[in-house]
Amino acid sequence: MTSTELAGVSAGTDTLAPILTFPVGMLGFPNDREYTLERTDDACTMFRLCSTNPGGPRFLAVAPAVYFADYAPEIPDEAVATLGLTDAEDAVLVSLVSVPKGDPQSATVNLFAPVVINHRTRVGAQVILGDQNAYPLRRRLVS
Amino acid sequence: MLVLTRKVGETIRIGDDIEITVIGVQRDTVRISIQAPREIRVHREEVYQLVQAANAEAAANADADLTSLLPPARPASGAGPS
Repeated sequence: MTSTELAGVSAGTDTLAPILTFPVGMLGFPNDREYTLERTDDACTMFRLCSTNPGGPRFLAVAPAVYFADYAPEIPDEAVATLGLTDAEDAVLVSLVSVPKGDPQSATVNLFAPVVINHRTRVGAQVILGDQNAYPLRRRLVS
Repeated sequence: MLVLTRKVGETIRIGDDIEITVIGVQRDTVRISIQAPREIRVHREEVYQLVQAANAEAAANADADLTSLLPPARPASGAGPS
């Protein structure tokens, strides 16, 4: 979750970006099971998560801890099992960003359903956290 | 659509590996236990709708330029500026 861990993520120009496997698709995109994660800035705070299927979904994402220092959700046991996580150090979190057309300042981050990646095995899953009050579905990226 | 009636403690099986058991009924609230393989995700409908809508919204504008929103060059970890 720290930017050091995310430093292993390839740059946008890297055509050899390793493929992440999602045993369960993202909600609403059940048929997209393979994604690439490319960083869009040198500081490794922003990413693009792209399905490898032609015409599949693409998402902007951020490393949430960079923007929300207090964000450190506990990953539910079920997700830990799906991801085969044995060490918390292996978990990398990215949060999807929604950007209203023409109004990037109003972009919001989904802190309720982050994408968790086991960066050792390259397995990912969208994880729904229990508490929507503690982890809002739409939090302004910049206030 | 199939409609079944079950008593508390009784189970419905879907396919070989999904079991849904009614474990309690109080007034208008029913408690249900669900056993399903890990790849079958089980959500409350409201939660599913919310997250699915947020995902669709996020996917609708993945090419937005957020450069102006990037944090200052220094990452959050380590000592911040005093």
